[in-house]
Amino acid sequence: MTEDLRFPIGKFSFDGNVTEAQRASFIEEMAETPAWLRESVEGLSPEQIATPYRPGGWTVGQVVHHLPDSHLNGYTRFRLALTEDEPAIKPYHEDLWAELEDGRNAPLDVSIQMLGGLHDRFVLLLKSLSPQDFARQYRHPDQGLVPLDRLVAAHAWHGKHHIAQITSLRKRMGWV
Amino acid sequence: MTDLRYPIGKFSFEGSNSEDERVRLIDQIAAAPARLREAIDGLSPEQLDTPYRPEGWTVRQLVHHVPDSHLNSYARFKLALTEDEPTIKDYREDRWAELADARSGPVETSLALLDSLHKRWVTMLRSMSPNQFERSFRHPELGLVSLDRNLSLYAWHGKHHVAHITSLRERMGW
Repeated sequence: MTEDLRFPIGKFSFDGNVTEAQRASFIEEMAETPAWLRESVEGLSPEQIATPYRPGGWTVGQVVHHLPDSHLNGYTRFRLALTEDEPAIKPYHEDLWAELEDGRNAPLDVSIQMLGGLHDRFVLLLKSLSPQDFARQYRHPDQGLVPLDRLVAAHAWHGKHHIAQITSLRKRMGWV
Repeated sequence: MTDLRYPIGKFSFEGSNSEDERVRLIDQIAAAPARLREAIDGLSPEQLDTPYRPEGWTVRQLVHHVPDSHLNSYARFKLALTEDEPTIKDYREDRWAELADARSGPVETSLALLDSLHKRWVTMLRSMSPNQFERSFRHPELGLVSLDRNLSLYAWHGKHHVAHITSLRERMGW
């Protein structure tokens, strides 16, 4: 049950093969994510924004602020892999970042705008690359070598994943 | 002849900041996105694609470099606040500036990114205790860097690049 609330669209899966058509659709989803996020929180009151999306989970506000923090790290990893040879990246503690003041209490608009700016830059970059570029990799200390194709698929999933946590909370609570 | 690369001089740091200095530095970081926006106000696409000095980045590359640099700095602050002297990953700013979005993307995108990034950053900075500014991260080449030093560095860094643009405009009579 708790699993269901955590993974409203299912867990991320990746089989290693990405066609050009799939890649283009992941990039389109990334381009749309900031607008979907904005819609998902439209009209929520401060009390609703301070409500955990599941028992013991992040508040709606923390979920929103987490997205640009996470995708900023993804943006950085992507650029590192394009400009260095299999660079070792630095992971971060998303749970601890989400407890910092701005991760708890910044206005939602600020983080939606930040995600928009990041994704605009990211999408422009993605559209400029050749298929071979997406085979470049970075080294994650726990996951090992990660190809950029996987990172793009993960970002497209990750945005929808957190947005669905918010929209499924709204549905359960009757916050339409 | 003045060095076109350092219109406001090189960065220097005394070792720590007083509380008043911190407040002033954070205010400078808060104001940086508006200063950058003013610096390029009214420039044509050709002017944006002009190098600020011979062999240097174009104005457009400078505008895209500022959020790229500051999002790395934002992440370093958060890493140092949430881990014990973490070793951070540095990046090749010269190569990042050659990627397609940084060479030819619309400047408005990076202005919007910088605006929102600095709002999150300043919210965090204003919540930090004096002790937290003594926390450090480890840079692979520079060694331990305190957050006090990093605060001063990035207050300088925003003004440094804005001055590249404003001094070019002055020299060119734009």
